[in-house]
This record gives sequence, C-alpha cells and structure tokens, in this order.
Amino acid sequence: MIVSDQLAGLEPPRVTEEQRRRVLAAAYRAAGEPLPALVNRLWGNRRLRLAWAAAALVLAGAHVFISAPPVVTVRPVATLPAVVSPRGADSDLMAAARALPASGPRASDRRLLQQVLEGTTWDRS
Amino acid sequence: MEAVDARLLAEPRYGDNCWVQPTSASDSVLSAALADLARGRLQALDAIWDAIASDLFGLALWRTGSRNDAEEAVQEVFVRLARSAGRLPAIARPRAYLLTMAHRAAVDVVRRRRPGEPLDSAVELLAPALDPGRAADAERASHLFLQLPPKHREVVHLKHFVDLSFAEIGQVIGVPTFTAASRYRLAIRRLRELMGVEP
Repeated sequence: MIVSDQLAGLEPPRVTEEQRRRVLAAAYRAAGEPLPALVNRLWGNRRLRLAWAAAALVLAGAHVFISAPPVVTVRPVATLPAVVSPRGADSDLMAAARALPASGPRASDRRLLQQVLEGTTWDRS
Repeated sequence: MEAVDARLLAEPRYGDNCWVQPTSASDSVLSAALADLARGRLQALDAIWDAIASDLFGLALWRTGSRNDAEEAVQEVFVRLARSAGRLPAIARPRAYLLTMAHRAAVDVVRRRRPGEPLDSAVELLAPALDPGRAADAERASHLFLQLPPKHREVVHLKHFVDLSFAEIGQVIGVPTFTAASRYRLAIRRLRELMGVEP
C-alpha cells in the first residue's frame, strides 16, 4: 500500500459543539471571578515551588555550615612566671610596686617598678 | 491533496521557500478578535474559538494523547484569555501566540497527570467527509501516528495540518528552527518505517 494513499485527505480531530459550549462557558465564568491571590498564583507555579524549595535547602545548609563551632586546636600555654620577691629587696619599694595601678602607670611609676623588678628572680618552676 | 501528501512525506529542505507556508487568512480574524478582547469585549472569545479552536485542540490532543486532557488544555487557554480581557497587550502573530499558549497548557496538563493514569482515548485522524469509505485508512494512520513520540506528533500536526513554517513551529514549541525540522524529519522517517515504505 502506498503511503500517500493512506494519508491523502485525512483530517485532524475536530472540536465538537459540546466542547465549544463547555470551554466558552468556563472562560466566561472565569472572567467574572476575581483573580486568585498573588501568593496562590505563585504557589501554583511548579517552577517557583521548586525554586523556593531549592533556596530553602541552600539557606538551611548554609546555616548549618556557618553556625557549626570552629575546630580549635588547643595548644599548651606556657605558664607565666610568677613574680616573687627578690631576696633582700627593699620592702618599701615592694610595697610601692604593689601600690601601682594595674594599668597605665606613669613614666615615673614605670621607672620605680623597673627598679623593683631588677631585683626580682623568675620562678620557672 | 496529493501535493500536501507529497510535502508531508518528503524530507524537509532548508532554505526552500516551499517550506515556508503563507500565514493563514484567519490571522486577520484573530487579530481583530484579540484587539476586541483587549478592549474588554468578552464576546470576542467566540470568534477566537471559531478561528483557531480546532488547531489548538489538535495540537493539545497530539501532545497529550487524550481528548479530555486536550480539552483541559484548550480550556486553560480560553480561561487565560478571558481573564486577560481588557489588558491584553498587542500581539503581532496571534496564531503563533495562541498555539504557544496551547502547547504550554498541554505540557502542564501532561506534567500534572499521574504516572500510569490510563488515557481516555487515542488520537484519531478522520476520513474525508466526501469519502467515508476511507475510515479504515484513517484508523490505521491514526494508529501509526500514535506510535510516534508526542514531541514528533505535535510537529507533524503543526506542519501538516496547521501549515506552519519550521521557524514558526520552533517559536510555538520553544525549540530552535533546526530542532523543529529535525523532529519532523525523524517523525516522517519513522512513519515510513511503520508503513513499510522504502525511503
């Protein structure tokens, strides 16, 4: 059988009068209805739903990654040597040194402290 | 009809003007109807239906393979048109515009379809009105076309029954012109194999 004989004059499926009535009635009905809310229209879009899900996953992953505590390697810290009283140090100077403010000593105080400390020994135990 | 059949079964030749079909006379009708719709006249939907409903339904039917799904896709097109009445932009190519809407609606319908859901009916080509004795040919051809992939079926429909150029087909289904022509060529080749016709 020749192919052209098979296809000659064949027609595509046609719409029926019943379909016309149904479709146009639905269209006229839809025209009178208010549009659904923007959120619902967006949610009805499959691609947008996928994009939303992907964004949520990325954010959740980033949150987990960033909020994880950093790994800290603990190194032994050398114990600061304690300052001990020098043998035979002047007790007045020691008392003056103790009376110095903890921070921000003036230059004269710093010199006084240096004098005191020059007579100290470092206890490295 | 012989000329149409020869065109259907021949390989596409790029750059040959015979493959670029003139725009349909219904374009002017559609343009006027869409302009009416843009002005808010809902009655223009009737004229749009009369001008292009068969093409839209055929495209959706060949894409979905189901009459119910095709009707749902066409209804989606008209519902969107109705909702956009009064604020429809100017459309340069109304037929391509509406066919694109139908194609996208059909694709959405197929995506929403549950896996394994049986189709209610098959695509059916019709025998010519003046020759009802060819019903068997129509049934056989319809059966053969159903064995083509939906993407190929819709290109054959747009080319053979809607008379679109490959460039227009590409615009409607969202693929390059070359891809549209390639799908058509593959569909015809497969059809020849199914019919047992030597290339």
